[in-house]
Amino acid sequence: MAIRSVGVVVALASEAKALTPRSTQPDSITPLADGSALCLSGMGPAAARRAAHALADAGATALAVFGVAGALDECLRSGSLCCPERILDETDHTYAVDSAWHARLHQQLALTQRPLYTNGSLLSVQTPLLTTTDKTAAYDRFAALAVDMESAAVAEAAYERKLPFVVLRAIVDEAGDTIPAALNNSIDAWGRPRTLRLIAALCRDPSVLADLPRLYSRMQRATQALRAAAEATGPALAWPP
Amino acid sequence: MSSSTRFSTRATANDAFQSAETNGLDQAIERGRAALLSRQHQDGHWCFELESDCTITAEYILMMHFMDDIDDVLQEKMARYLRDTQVKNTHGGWSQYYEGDIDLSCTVKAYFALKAAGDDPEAEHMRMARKAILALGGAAHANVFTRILLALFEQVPWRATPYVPVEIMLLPRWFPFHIEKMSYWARTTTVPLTILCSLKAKAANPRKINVRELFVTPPEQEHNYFIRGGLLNRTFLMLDKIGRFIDPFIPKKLRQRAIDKAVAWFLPRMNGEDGIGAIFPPMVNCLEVMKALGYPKDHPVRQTCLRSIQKLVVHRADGSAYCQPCVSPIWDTVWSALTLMHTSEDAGTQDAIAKASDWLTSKQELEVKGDWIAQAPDLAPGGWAFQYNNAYYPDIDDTAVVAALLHIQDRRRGESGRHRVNINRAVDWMIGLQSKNGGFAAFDANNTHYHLNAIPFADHGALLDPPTEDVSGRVVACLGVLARPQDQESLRRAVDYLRSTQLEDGSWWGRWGSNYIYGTWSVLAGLALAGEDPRQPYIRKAIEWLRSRQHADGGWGETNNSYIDAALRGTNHGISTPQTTAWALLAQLAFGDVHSDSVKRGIAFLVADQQASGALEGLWYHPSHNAPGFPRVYYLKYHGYTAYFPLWALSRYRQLLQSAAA
Repeated sequence: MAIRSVGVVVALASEAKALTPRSTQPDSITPLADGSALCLSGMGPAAARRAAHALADAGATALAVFGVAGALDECLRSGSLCCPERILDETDHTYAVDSAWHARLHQQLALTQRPLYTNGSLLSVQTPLLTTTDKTAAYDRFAALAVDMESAAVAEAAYERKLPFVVLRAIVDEAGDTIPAALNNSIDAWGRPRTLRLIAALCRDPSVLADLPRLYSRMQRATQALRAAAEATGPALAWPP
Repeated sequence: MSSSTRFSTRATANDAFQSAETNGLDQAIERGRAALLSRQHQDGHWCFELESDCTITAEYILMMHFMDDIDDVLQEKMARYLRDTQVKNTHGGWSQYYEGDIDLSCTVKAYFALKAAGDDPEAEHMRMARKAILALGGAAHANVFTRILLALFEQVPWRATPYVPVEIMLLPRWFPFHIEKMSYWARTTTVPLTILCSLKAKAANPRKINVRELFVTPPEQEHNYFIRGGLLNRTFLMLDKIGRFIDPFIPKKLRQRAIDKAVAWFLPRMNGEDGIGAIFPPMVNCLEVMKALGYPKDHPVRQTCLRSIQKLVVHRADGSAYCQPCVSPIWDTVWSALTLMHTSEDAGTQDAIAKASDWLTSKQELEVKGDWIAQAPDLAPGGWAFQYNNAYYPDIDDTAVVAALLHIQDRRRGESGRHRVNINRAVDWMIGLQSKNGGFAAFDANNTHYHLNAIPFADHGALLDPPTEDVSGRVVACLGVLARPQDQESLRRAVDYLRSTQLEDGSWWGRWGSNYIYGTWSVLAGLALAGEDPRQPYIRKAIEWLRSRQHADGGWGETNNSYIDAALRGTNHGISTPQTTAWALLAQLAFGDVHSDSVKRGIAFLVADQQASGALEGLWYHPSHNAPGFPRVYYLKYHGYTAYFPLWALSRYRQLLQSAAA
């Protein structure tokens, strides 16, 4: 498959749905409109790196990360859009996004009328931050707007391949939210539901049920924001600037 | 002039007046009889139009867009009907009933349908409707069924609708939400609907019609689709979100099993060209499910289902068309036959009644054990439906009146054994469905699971079929006429139920007809035939209440607003209607009251109110909706009610006068 435009790295199937109505397969490239494509990578930096290189190998002329993230800054509510200027990793590497592309993205995202944060950084970690304590510690150390697991790996790949890149994230959990670890394990790396694990988690700790309505609402808002963003920018995410 | 001459002059004048009055009465009955007879079908049945509000017609148009099967000629005719029923001189939207307030859900559906039919959103009537919708908070505040329709057309996200997974089909019978706990109409509507909701089915919508302009907040950003009520309601909303969270975790196999079970539930109930449940909403849902499940267009079940919907359409002389929610042949036939009984002894009329009785007899359901079997596993079928064929859902109300008619007919013809088997089967079936409180519901027994009305899905509060005063009154009438010794205990319990449901002012509420005057007539007619002594204070009180509601012109009327505000009981801003007047008269005549001033004035009103010319010559007419489908939610206009009830009141009055004189 030949890509002539942006390659978008997407970790979860539910995030990919906001970008394309077509069904996406794990670890494979799905063409979008105008020569762009997305690769459904699965969660985590290693998977994201593989996907970024696969997209570059297939001819992508720019790289993007698209999906949801957790807020570290208390200002960011679920459903906010976050399009950071810089990506940090836990070893204090900093990657700047393509500024012209970032500016154009900002311009188009403003049309969604949703809360939008484009000044500041996003932190990429190796393992998810699930508790308020972890998030507060990370915020105190890095002062980043939000946290994800893939952006730094894609940024690194983009630097290696000399490709412009940007990150577009919608906030799902807020700084004050704790995500029960049990729930985090009830989806696989691509966000696909694992029914037995959920049942087991609920049997071990039925109080988790009480978190579900709030989490559902958070996910809804994030998904809506992603859809609105994709609608405003198109599948190539405002590329070329 | 001597006093005696004065007296005799007055006597002559009185006689003259009397005979003129009787002549007028005779003529009115004669005209009414001819008009009613002329509307009988060849095979002996009657079927008058059954009109509701704009929603069924709007849903018909949208169904064509869902299916991508648009009949443009029919659509334009239906759009005309919708434009004609818009209330342009006051609120600018659509009402649930004639002279009712604007109804947001009706207005949203009608606007959507008109837009689908190609009406320009900037046309005057569309702007007016849109303004009215936005003033009420927009389409986001429409009721659950409207929001589900909008979700099917991708106008609102699915979270705007209650979570009703198809897996409810797999719940055990003891579960609080088992489908057997719902009324028949809710059951038949909900089962296919759960498939549509679980599949998140999408309308084909070939013309890409949208109604985004009907939302105050963009529908994706709206977070107040559900009214947050009390604790119970909030709990259900929490459960709703938990359900939506868990939905993706439901294994595909389990979902498929539930869908298969739902399909296996509705397929045997499809009911040929009369359609599932013989009512519009489940038919449409089943048709849309078949499309969603990939049944080809020429699949025989799908084709028959479509025909059952098409058969509900009424084409009018003015070039408009509308869709009926269902048809009322059994109900219309049994009342028409009872009405004709005392209009004339001539062979033509009596033959018409005999033909109607034969037709009704052929429609009794003696084979199929319908859904009622869940409440009475050992009961043998024997009921009549409301529609032509609806084997799974016979109607106790219809069954009571038909059984009584057949008994009276046999007695009149001196053939007392002719329908004995039919009558016994019918009455045994009804009594087998008597509820614990002694009353009778329309289709089920003890369907009183009131917690169901608290779930987000049930915002209309019409999920149940509890016993009601009017149906119980009809059963009491039937048992009274038949006077079978084995029914005495049931009869006593039903009479006790009726006594316990009388309201403090002496009236009874009307569930299936508008409203307290209908309810009071239904009950009093039953009590009279059950041999209750009319001198009892509670019966006097009811009669007094009826008389206190009579208008200066001699008639009665009752607004459907009385379902919202009970203080409006038996009132209609002083406007009399023929059907309400007939019910108030029949209630009084039931106890043999022919000489009261109230009755005479009522009769005079009906005689004067008869249509003297035009298409309805000899019948009566009033534009008002005369029955609830569901109180406060959905109303009906039985065109038959202004055809037979006034005539029945007149002929019953004349018959009682004659027997009093004899």
